Amino acid sequence: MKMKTVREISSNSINNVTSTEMPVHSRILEKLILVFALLISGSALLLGVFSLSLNNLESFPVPAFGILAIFLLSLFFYLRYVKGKKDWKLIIFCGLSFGALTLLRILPEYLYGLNINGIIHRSFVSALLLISIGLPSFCFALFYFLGATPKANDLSHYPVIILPILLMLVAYGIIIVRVFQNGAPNINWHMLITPYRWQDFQQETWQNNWPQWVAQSIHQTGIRNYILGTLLLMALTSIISLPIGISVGIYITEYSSGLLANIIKVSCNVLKSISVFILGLTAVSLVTYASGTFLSKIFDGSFVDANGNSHLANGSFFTAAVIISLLIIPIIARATEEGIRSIPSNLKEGSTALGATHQYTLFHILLPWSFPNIITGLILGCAEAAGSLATIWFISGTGEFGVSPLRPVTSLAYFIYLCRGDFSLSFKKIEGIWQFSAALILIVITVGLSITALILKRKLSQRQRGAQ
Amino acid sequence: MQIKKKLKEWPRIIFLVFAILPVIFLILIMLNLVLNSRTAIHTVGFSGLFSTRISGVFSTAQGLFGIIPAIWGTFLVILVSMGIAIPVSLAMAIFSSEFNLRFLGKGMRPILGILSGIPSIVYALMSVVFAQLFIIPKFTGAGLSPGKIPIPAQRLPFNTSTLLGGIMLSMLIIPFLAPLFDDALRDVPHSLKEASLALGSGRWYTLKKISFPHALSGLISASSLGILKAMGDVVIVGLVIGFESPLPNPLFDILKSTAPLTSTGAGFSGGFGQSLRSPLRDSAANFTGLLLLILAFIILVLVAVLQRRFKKRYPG
Amino acid sequence: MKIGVVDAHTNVEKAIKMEDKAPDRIEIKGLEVYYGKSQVLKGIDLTFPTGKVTAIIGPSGCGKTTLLRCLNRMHELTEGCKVKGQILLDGENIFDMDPMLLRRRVGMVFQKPNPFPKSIRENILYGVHAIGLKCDHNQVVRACLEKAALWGELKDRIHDNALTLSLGQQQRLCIARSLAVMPEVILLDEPASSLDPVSTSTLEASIMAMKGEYTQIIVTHNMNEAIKVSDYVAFLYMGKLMEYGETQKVFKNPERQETKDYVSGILY
Repeated sequence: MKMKTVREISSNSINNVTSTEMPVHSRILEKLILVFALLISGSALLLGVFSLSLNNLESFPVPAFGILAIFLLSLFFYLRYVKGKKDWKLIIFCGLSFGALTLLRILPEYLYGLNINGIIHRSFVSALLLISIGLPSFCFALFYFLGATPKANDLSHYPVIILPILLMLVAYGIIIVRVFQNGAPNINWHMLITPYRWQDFQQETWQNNWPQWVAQSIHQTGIRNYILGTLLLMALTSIISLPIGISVGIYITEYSSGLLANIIKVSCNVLKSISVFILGLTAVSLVTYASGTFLSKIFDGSFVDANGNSHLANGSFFTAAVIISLLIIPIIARATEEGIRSIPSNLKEGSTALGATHQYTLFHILLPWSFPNIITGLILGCAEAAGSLATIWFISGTGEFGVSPLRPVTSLAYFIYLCRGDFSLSFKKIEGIWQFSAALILIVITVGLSITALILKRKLSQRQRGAQ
Repeated sequence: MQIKKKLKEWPRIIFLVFAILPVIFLILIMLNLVLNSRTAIHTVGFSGLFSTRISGVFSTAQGLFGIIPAIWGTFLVILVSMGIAIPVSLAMAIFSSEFNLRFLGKGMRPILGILSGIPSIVYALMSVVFAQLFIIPKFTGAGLSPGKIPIPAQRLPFNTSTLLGGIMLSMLIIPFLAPLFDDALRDVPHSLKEASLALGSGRWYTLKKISFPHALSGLISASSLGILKAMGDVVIVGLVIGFESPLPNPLFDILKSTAPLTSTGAGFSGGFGQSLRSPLRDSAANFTGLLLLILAFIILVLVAVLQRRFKKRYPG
Repeated sequence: MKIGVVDAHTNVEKAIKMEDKAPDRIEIKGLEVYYGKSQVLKGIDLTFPTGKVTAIIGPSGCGKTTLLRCLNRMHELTEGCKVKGQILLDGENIFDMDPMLLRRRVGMVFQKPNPFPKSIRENILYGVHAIGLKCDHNQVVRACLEKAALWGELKDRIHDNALTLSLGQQQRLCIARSLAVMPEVILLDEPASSLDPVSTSTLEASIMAMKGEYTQIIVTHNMNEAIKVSDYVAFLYMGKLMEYGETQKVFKNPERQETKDYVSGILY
């Protein structure tokens, strides 16, 4: 047996064999086959992606599979007889293409039955088949196109990762673009300023020389109260959760030995993962327990208005803030913890070496250092509070009576829900048009807050790198 | 002197008082759930609660509060949403941590940070768009003329189905899950990856044989957080799937709508109108909440056990 | 998912004769390395003779490790690292090769031992499986452990987890692991810096035993070690090659003043 040198073995890739042994026209033929294999598998993939949504591409998958099978087969034979490499995967995928082809010819255009609640169009099956066969074929073709080296092996795995990422980014893009498209045209200054208010009154008119009383109503609509409600919710939640969150953070890191700190840590983790539905139920219970006692004024948002009418409500801003802060406290506690832990130890030691007490160090060194971290956590918490709907679902009102801590709670998120889920037709006609605008404003608020927190985090990590 | 010493400790006491509050709140929440469920348990009994018969919010019949369909609904919704979210988040994490295409990979993290700010009500709102783009063309026989449709129209999944709810839920979870996966993959020590690359194996092989096994416990705990978040969301599943539904006839039919625990509970307490509230309904809602909490605990315990097993296999 | 058949190792038996032994296995021509804006290596011209041990010495921060990492293109793992110049392995420019194929011919042992959290046997066979090398696994494990002077200690323990070994044994395991893919050159980056003196001397014995069969390039701070194991020595200072020659000559009669100052730290 011929002993090859290590050099010859290591560099025995397709390209080298081509350049030293193959005549020119074989090289061109090979490149042609590879480019075509790449093109056909790429277009099969694209066809599959588009077929996920469109129905009228049905005439293309069958010929696509046919051509793909032919090219895979020809690639296999070329590699086998010209290069001496047997790549059975190509044969397998060729067979799969043929199978897909026959399957698609057999299936009727619409599939139903088995008591399934839908009529499946054949393009769904063809989309799945195209993607699941086209993607690996594209990867194989890419591998051989790049020369079958180990580096090509690595690079040819990229499409498997890039495809889901692209699809998801397109989906998110659709959401944001649609919200903009539908929401932006309806926003105007008047709508932002006016609260929702309507009044029924009787108006006197004359008809046939007799006075008539006709019911009239004035609709003055806008989403001011909802916007203010969202802002108030964020503010109240911050006020309540900030001291508690900071205390939890400090307690966990500074006095961290012992059972109590572990219990607190565990309950914070549980609070973070608890379902918001349970928190909504708790809100209802809170209001129920408070009603009838002296606390009812604070918690359930009932009040007496200027005309002496008393309005019963289901929950005030204060209640909602208390419940939502249960979600935010773990976020702020985590941020405080990170802030305190990120202090370079020589700062702490320097302070102690100067004779400061533990508590002095805490207030004058640790807290100011962690201040940016706490603010980041607070901003994230506000974003969470602004978007929360489930916790205030059962206790919300429409905010027609003004926005203040003791009034019924309402927010932009609740308004969007009313537009979607409410059945009252007059509401839908008058205020339903602002469904997407409210969504747009809400997204601007929450995403804006998230971006701010992100920028702050980046500045913080730069500061840490500088300090070290 | 003693009093002066105690007074000097006041910050610690204040911190302690504030820090205990979350624990107290948590205990109160759990107690509240248990206490409120008593009425339902007494009236309907465990057999009634764990039956498969469920009554509509709009019906006047009393006492049909079987929640087995709801448990199955939670399972289906988690299956669909995690089935989409986990692979996509994994792909994003691999893209941004391993195959550093420089600026592209670095851009993934800020994009995910921005997307994580979108609240769930917006996803519920946009479910109509995805229904139009994907579900209606593929699953409702869009091209057929009305006379030829073999299934009565009210059964077709035009706007509500478990599949659609799972898709929107996965879009909620991905910006939350992908950074966690990314952190888990980045935690693999660089020296191990270098050793593998220096032996001549490619990046993909290193990923498969070294990074994945090392990061597995982190990936599992992140997935469990994602599952808890999916289980707990009530807005998306409520508005996209519905507030209560019977067990689907072929069990895995995700084109039907099977409301999970959260929205079934919301439906019990009459999320639409206050007039439907009654002590029994509220109590049944609390019972579903309690069940949800128990399920969450079971998942947390399972994950802790799995993690301990993995730590044994890969020490250090 | 393995995309394709990677190379033709599969047709060759394990015994490989190096039929054409070039006198210099690796040649460096005009190498300049930049980290971002700052230049770390300024125009290095150096050769490494086949089958011998060459030591690279110099003060901290002079670019020794950077130079070593360029030899198997591990510098590409660092961001912002730019390289100019040529490095020839048996006459072929390594920057034109596939990096993975290069790293199978040029192995590396790191400063801190980094065995995989798997069994000893799996550690050694890792590279073999990664390439798809067809060979007798048991024979390979035994041969590599013998070359790294570990067979006697570990022959009953090859299924134990590699992390249970002492640091010295782990480092020799890393050497054994890199031998399994049959490299021509082995790069050693301060291999004894985290070891105690006894393990260090065992390591040095392994390096001496591998002379002739492998070309070794060792970066070291420890000049006693450089004198003991190496045949040739290269002195790097501030990114430039100050002096190169046979070990005895450089240490006894250094030509440059900087070399004299550096090596005068040892006592003869």
